[in-house]
Amino acid sequence: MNVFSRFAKKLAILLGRQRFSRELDEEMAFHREQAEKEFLAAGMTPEASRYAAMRQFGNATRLKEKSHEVVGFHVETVIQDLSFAQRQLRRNPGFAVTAILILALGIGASVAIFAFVDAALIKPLPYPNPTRLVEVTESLALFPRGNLSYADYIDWKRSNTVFSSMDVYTAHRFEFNTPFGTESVHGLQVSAGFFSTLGIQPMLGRDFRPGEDAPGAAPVVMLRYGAWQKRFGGRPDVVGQTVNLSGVAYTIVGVLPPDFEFAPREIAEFFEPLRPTGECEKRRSCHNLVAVGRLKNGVTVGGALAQMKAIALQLENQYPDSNRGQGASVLPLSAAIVGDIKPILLVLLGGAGLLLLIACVNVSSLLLVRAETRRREIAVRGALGASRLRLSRQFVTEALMLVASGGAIGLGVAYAGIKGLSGMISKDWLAGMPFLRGLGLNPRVLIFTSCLVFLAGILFSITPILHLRFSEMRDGLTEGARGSAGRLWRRMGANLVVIELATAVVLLAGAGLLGKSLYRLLQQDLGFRSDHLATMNVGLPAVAFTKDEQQSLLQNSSFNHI
Amino acid sequence: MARKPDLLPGTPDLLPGTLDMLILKTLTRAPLHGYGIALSIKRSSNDVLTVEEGSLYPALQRLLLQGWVKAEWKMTETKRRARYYTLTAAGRKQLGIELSQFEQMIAAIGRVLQDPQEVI
Repeated sequence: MNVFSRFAKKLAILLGRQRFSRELDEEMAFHREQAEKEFLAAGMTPEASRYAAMRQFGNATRLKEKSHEVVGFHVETVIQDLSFAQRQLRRNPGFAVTAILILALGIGASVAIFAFVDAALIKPLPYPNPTRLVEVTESLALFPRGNLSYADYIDWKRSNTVFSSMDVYTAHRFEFNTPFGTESVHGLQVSAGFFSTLGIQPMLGRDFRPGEDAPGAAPVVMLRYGAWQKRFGGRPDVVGQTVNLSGVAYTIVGVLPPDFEFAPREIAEFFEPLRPTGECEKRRSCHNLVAVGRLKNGVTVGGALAQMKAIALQLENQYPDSNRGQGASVLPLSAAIVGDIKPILLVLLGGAGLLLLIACVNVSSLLLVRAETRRREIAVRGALGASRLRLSRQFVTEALMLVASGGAIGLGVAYAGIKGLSGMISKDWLAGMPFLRGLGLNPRVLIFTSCLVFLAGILFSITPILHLRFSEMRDGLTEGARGSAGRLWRRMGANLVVIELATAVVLLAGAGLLGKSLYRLLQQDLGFRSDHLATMNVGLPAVAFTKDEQQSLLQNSSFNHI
Repeated sequence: MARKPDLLPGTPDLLPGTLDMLILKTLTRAPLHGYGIALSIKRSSNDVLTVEEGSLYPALQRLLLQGWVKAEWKMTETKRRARYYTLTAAGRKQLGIELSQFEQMIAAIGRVLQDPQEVI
């Protein structure tokens, strides 16, 4: 039997419901007329034959209903429930609006915060296999995560057996000539294998080749997608062209894909291979690098840390002057990036969760009160033959309708909340948290919302059903019957109030403490007046200002001009 | 079995499940409208079997859904619009299945009734 074609036919009938009804009407009217004619032919008077035909035919409405039942889906009762629930809510607009608004606020707040948690904690790294990526740094008593020196990096890279690859980066500024003057732009110096360690392929051109971070190699540069769009008009022929950066002619070899981000630093526009030609790279005691490693299969962060510590100890023995007291730190890259905001986000999520709990408790108590006033209605429906299942389903439908409306409005609230909250983060912070750019109502956030709505729906369905114990339904018919059910309600209601008060106290205390901390932070005595001070950086092209004398000359003349 | 008060006394109800088969069988000769089907069954059974309209039209909808009959609006000889039902190939096959099942059942009932051991 072809279930699918039967379903399709039913669907077609459902869509053309009126036509189906009309045709059935016409068909049955035809039938009645024929019967009437036959009676007439048998010698009855016209009136008698009409009545006889009608009598024979029976209740036309019921007949039609029977045909409808054959072709209908078994959702008719659900639709009935829905429209009844809608009527109930509309008849009680105060209750409906209050409940839906409370829910919308609770759900909205939770979802908005969850969107941040999702962006920061669940998928912070836009690289393949992000959990295998770690940040490797040196550690000192003073700096638990201190920069790495180039010489140490070379030794670490050579001696370790825990990383399939290990590369370093450091921030670098380039002077870029534009028609409006020279601009200082952010860049990154990276060892040649950096992008392949992250698992990133350039979308245009090629990656750095292994030898290109050697001292004598020709200067090459890769572009961030944004820089390619902004500064080079997104032209595909940009690969192979030369660009003047800080007075040096670089060949552009590749453009990185649009979703590439490297969070630990400001948004870098240019990437060049790190060559050990600077003063700093030559000294083991000059620390300017951060390493990123990709763990080999089966190696844990702890295992990698143990080995790096052993290597650091060995280097300390070998170079006691420069490496005294230097250990190693290995952190998952995601933790290294989002480390600071993780506790903040979790606290916020907890707060939002408590707020939602309060909202749910509030709506539950409203539902309880309403169920109490509807005892009679339920009792009458029960007496008229509605099954317990059907009565319970009525509550479930109403609860679902409430939470669905609340959830829908809540999504709007969440959207506004996300926009508002991210607007409150300063630009500098945002630049350091590029993972927040993926913020929004993505599928994971929507799934989270559905889970909340689902749980709230269950809660709100169960509350009134528990309250109206159907075995005592008959009591509801007798006016003023308030036996054990009334007691039950009082007990549940009291418990709900206790839960709610406790949650509110926790929230208030938390909010108060946070406010107090913020106040202290703002009132912190820095030891100097900061309200009239500004800081600035001056970038000099290294080619033009090679000698210290030139630099100090510029410095002096600058100070004189200010 | 409960009997409708408006039926003539002595009119037996149809055996359950046989209506679909009767409709299909009736349609093997020619396409018919609902009234025609009811009339044909009544005449062929010498007025013994009366198809109630309350079961006829739901049954027709069921057969339509199963794809065993097709419906089509046509003009009658008296120039009235009526919905004519036609047997489909699947319906013909289904009729064969139902007939053989029905015969088996009748035979089984017959054997039970003729069993000399049983005293009625």
